[in-house]
Amino acid sequence: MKLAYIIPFALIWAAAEAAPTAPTPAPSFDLSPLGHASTHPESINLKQYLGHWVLLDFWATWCPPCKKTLPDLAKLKRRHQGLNILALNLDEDKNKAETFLKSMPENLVYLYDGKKDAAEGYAIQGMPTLILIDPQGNIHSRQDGYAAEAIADLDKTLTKLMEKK
Amino acid sequence: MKRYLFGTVLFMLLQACAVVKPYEREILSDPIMDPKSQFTKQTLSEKFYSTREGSVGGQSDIGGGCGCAK
Repeated sequence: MKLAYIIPFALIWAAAEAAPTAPTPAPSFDLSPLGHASTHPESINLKQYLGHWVLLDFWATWCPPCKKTLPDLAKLKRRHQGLNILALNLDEDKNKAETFLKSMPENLVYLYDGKKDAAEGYAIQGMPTLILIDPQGNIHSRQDGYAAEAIADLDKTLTKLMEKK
Repeated sequence: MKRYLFGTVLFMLLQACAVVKPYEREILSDPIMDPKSQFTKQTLSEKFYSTREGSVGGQSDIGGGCGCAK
């Protein structure tokens, strides 16, 4: 008798698990550049990267794991030239970030999210957060908080994705 | 009556609770906010000696100071 109740629920659950999930569109933003990218006067909008793979990195100078991640991201960018890496800074004081970036690699695009609008939009749960966005502008995957193996895993994923192309 | 009063006081106290988002922890991540921080302990200790006996320095192993207040 109990099985008569359990089986329909189990089937519904299995169908829900198997159903493809709808892609989540990446919230757009319009932010001013930082560091070497600030030589470009205009603000940078996420929409201008449609058609390309984009990796967002939410970071701050007061977050040691974030600072550790930036050089690794620069190496990742060297390995995957088709990937655009946007590093969004969340410091209260923009000058702190500007000073810190003088010693950072120049192959990343640094942006300043002083009002935390982008961080709010992506519901950041930890620092740093890495979000991979596909060429259609949908969120492909994300890593909230620091994980030692995150960049290596991302490297493997990107190699597979770029091969498909 | 007491129950309502207790409830009101509790409700008012809970208003002070707030969730600090990960990207808003800049001030909290400052070393001075760490209760175990050596920096805090040393600063307080230096303040104590400077006001009580006017001696400054000698609080750490590194750096200058006469070390007389150690």
